[in-house]
Amino acid sequence: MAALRSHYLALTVVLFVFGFLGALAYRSNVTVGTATATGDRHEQLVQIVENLEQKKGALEGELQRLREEIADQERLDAARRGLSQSYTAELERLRMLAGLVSVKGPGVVVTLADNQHPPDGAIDPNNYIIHDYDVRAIANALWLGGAEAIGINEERLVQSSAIRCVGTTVLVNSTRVGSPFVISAVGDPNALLAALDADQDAALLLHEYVKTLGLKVSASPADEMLIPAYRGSLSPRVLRSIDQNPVPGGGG
Amino acid sequence: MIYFPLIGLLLGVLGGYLIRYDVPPEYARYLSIAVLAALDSTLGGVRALLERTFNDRLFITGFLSNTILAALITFFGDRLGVNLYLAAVIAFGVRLFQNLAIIRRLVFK
Repeated sequence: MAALRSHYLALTVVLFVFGFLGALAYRSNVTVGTATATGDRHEQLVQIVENLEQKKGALEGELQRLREEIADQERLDAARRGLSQSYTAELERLRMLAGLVSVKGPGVVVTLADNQHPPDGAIDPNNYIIHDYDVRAIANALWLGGAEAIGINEERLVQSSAIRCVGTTVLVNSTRVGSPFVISAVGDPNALLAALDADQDAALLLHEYVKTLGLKVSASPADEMLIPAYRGSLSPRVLRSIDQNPVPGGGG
Repeated sequence: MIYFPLIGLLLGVLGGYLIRYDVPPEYARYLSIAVLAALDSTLGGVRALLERTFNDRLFITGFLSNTILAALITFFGDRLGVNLYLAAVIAFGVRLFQNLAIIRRLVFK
């Protein structure tokens, strides 16, 4: 009987290890075998990128939660210490400019999309797709129009944001976005639309290339928009708003 | 008593699922080898139990040495640029089916 018991204990140990490793492999979402066994470097790298992007998403959610908690605590603290209304209002305003809180309000939505059916014999197919500089031109024109907050496909633009080209997609705040680009800006709709028309590049996109190249570009005012808060990390320790021109940097 | 191994399996699955650790992709092969070694040992153990030749020490040392050898082969295979890892996968795989066949015969004899 004692021998039998130790038999089962030994089996238990190995089965425990089996279950543990099996579950770990399953949950780690690592393709075991195909991609790695062939030693395919490219697939390995793709896998690493996908794993890291997944991790990044989780961390961004965590950061978002913590930032909201900090804002809540500060609000409570200000109320308890009887700090003036103007102090908290100023804090909120600065936080909005820094992109740390979501912003709601009227504004303008600009959508940009590739022409998916370029004419046969097109000289340069690059002419028929939206590039990083197109997105940048629209964003800069919107800042000039006095936008309080700008989001590109749910990515908030902040002072450290860059809009740049990576392969076949565009990188905004280290998140890949692709056509169609939806650029939403909170601000005075009329001023924003006027700024788009006044900007040379933006006006070309909106009025010329729509016809000549078949790009799908449109700008329309919206009554109520929600631009999410910035989800990434902020490295600068000190930021100051320039009051004459309350624009947190122009992206480009 | 006979449920102990099943409880062990359940606890293992639970632990592996709940632990906050992601295996880096470059170690995925080591993990898969370890899983295979454990599965191989389990089937071998069941077979030995049915044949009444089960020996705890042989069982545990077999499991450990198989895993270690498989890991070493994988490691050196990586260094040499040869997929030696496949040797372990095939060795374990063949034995899995063999053991399963023998267990089947012992159970339905």
